[in-house]
Amino acid sequence: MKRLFLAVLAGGTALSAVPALAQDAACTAEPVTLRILRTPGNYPYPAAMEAWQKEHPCVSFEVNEVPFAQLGDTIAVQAASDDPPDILVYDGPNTQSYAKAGILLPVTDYLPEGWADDILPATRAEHSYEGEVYSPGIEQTTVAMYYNKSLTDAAGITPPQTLDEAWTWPEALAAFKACQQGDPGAPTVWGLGPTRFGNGQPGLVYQDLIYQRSNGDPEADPESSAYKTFWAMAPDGSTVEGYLDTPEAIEALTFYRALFNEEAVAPKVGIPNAFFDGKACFYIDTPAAGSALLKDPVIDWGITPIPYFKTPVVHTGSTTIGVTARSKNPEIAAQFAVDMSWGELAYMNVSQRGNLPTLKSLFDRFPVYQDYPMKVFVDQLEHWGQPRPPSPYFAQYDRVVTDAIRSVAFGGDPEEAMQNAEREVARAMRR
Amino acid sequence: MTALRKPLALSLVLLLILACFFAPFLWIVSNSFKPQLGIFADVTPISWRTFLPLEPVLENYRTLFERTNILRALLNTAIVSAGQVALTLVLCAMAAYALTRIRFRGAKAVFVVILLTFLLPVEAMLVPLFQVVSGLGLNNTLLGVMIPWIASPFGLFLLKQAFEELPRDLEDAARIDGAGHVRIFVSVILPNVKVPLLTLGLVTFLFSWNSFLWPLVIAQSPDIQLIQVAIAQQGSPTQLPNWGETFAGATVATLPLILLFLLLQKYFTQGMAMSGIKG
Repeated sequence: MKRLFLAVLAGGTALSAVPALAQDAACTAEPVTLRILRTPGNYPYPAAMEAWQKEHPCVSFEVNEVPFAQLGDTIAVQAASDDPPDILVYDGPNTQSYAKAGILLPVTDYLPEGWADDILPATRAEHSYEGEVYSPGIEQTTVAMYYNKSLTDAAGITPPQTLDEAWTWPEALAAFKACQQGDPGAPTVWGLGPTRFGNGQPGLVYQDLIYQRSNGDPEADPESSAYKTFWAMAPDGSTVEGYLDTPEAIEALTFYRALFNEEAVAPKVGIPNAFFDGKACFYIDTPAAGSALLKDPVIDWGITPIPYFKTPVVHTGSTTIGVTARSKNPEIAAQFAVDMSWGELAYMNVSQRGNLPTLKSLFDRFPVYQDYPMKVFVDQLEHWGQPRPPSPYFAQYDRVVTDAIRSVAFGGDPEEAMQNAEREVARAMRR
Repeated sequence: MTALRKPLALSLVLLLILACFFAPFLWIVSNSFKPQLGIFADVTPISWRTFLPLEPVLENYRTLFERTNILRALLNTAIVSAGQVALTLVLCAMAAYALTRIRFRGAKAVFVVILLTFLLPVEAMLVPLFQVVSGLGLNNTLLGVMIPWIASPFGLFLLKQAFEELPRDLEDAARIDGAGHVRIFVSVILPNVKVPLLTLGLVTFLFSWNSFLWPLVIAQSPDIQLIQVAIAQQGSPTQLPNWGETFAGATVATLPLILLFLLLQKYFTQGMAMSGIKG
């Protein structure tokens, strides 16, 4: 028994030794191990890391992975310790929160010449805080509306394929109703399929805040409700009061509530894979769904731009790369993060993953995005893309507003939900 | 007639309760044998189709074992669970012995303080625990996964209850024969508390096998990942989840626990009953 116990302990200790990536070039300086925390299957990818290592033979890597849903909690725990990872691959909209909390190191001084002109404006806004850039970004993504062509053809619907022909939400609703099949309340085919984001229920800011934002106007008087509706938070991140419960926002949310209740063209519960199973006519997702369908076209499909009320808008943002402020190797970590996001190494990373690059100069190198259907994503990103309201309080904003929008989808009063959300976010901002 | 109706009604109620507990597990196992597309096709409305794979496939298991590190995760989990059981039993038994068999001032206060740690949620302890364990150089090690939980207040409580029930005469007789604390503990006390020890072992194994949050934070390296974390690795906002693999992984992760529970359930129920009525 004693031997068995010791064997188990010895085995455990042996297994826990973490292997580093092999290096073949000669190292003539102090060896450095960069610890990377990321989600599974995320960049930086081995080919780009190995290419970089050839120029930095004294650096090795230790890569650790956690599921996306637990990434924020893990970062919060590890960043507070004396032993944080050097590199974080995290959800981009949290940049300002992490910067304010002192988790991230600014990388402005490490950015290459020409970066500011090449980077997508939405990416730069999302990854900057108080004049400093905290992440060079690698990829961008956004959502568009997929459709099951067999079902839309059968219903006599031809969804638009370009931005200038995009539907308004009322036009989209007419299409959802025309395409939906089965009994009202328990359809066999939904007009608008359930999301796969979050817990599968409606409300997530990334996908659903755009309803109300699109009922606003960024060109209107900054004191007007139309302007505030579009930004959904003061553009400088200073306040949220008066930005979520505007008449335009309530109007849009009343329409949104009808999708799940009075019109009942979208389910309130999560039904994973509904679109891919042919159980939904329309479905909102990132390029990941298109990449999967290109590889394995289980249905006949197309993409139509995201509908809008007055101003077309889609949210940008994807996982991005940053350096922890308490890294024991800040300079080499910052150099690594910037190099992974620039030039050929950025191309290697983005092409491996299949999303869009953040650098405009790389767009032409992705043939799949040159033509319909995937071109819709590029066009949306360039012309309609907006970051989720950048703020050091985005994490709290995201949670509170998601809950508020979800309560509306479940039949709650939009005005009451948004007033409560404003109060709760404002309280978090005062802390 | 009335006499017949009562058992029948009771049986129906029990069957209904059984179905409530069994249906989710049946659904998981059934989905693990369905093709990736079609898993959720019969979710609404719920019918017998929801719970049966009409055209069963082994594809999900094949890709699970080929594409993921599931075997390594199972081995890691088995090592951590077995190690945690062994260390917990040793530590809790020794502490329970000290608190019940050795008279010292403040014994009750020590016991109460230990029990109070029951009230602390894991989430509240996460940052200080991480600081301590990584400070010991155990970040990203299997030892780091198990070590914070081996001093179990529940284990101490369970064993203290059992130790207190043992007659003092046993100990006195051993002492007359010249036995010291170590011999009394090993040769007299432990052989008489096999059921509580087995119960604690089983509960600790279940806790360790199903742990998620702490292993997630302290052990992210793919080489030392535990099974629950490995299963949760499926899916991200920019990649479509492979639900078939997820269900197959959940089934694989559950089977060892079911087997263990079926083998030891007698001791488990005895031990739990004992901890509730004695003291």
